[in-house]
Amino acid sequence: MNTFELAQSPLFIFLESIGLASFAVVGVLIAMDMRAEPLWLWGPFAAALTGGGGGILRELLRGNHNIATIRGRIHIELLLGWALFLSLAIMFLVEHPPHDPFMMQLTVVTTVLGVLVTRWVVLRRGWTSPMY
Amino acid sequence: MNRFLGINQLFVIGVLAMALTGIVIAHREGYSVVGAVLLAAAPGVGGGLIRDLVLGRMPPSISSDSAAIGVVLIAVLLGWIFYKLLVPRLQKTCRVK
Repeated sequence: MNTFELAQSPLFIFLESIGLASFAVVGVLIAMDMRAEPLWLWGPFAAALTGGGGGILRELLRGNHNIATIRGRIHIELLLGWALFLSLAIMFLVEHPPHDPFMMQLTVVTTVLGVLVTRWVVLRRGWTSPMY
Repeated sequence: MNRFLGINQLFVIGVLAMALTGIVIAHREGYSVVGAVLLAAAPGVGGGLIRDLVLGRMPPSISSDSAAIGVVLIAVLLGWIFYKLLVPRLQKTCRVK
């Protein structure tokens, strides 16, 4: 079973979406924790490595070289987009005191829900990444 | 800052969810327990390891925080219980009825 067939399994999609949404936020927060500047660049980069790198490793371990993530399935693009949103939102909140923990929570929750909803829409509509 | 959805909670949720994707594959494709552990660890922990190495974060989160490995092992154990003990019993019960 290749990753394109697995992508049709609702259980697999659900679990992977939860993992991607969590790792999008974790990547940005770790880049922020490391004070990687500028955050709008390193946040999405760290999120893509965290969420996308593991999936690619898993496929390589299975001996599957037909990795859907780099063959058109919108996956890392989602992480990059929402991690950029979170990074820009954090940069805005940091530069505009007073620092409200509620607003930080709101951006994190928005990012998590954003990844989940966008992934659902992408899979439902069958959108793929522009091919080279 | 007391965050109800902080980095630690999201990290555990993410590792657990990605580990379960590996377990689903391991079950469907007939991997051994060791294979299931590796397939569960790769997406849950491997991405973070690559990130830490690229960003120069030392020590990497995998070695400084054993929670990730613990979550992976618990996920594999739960998956094994689910597929080897619960699913056959459920199938047997359904067949009897």
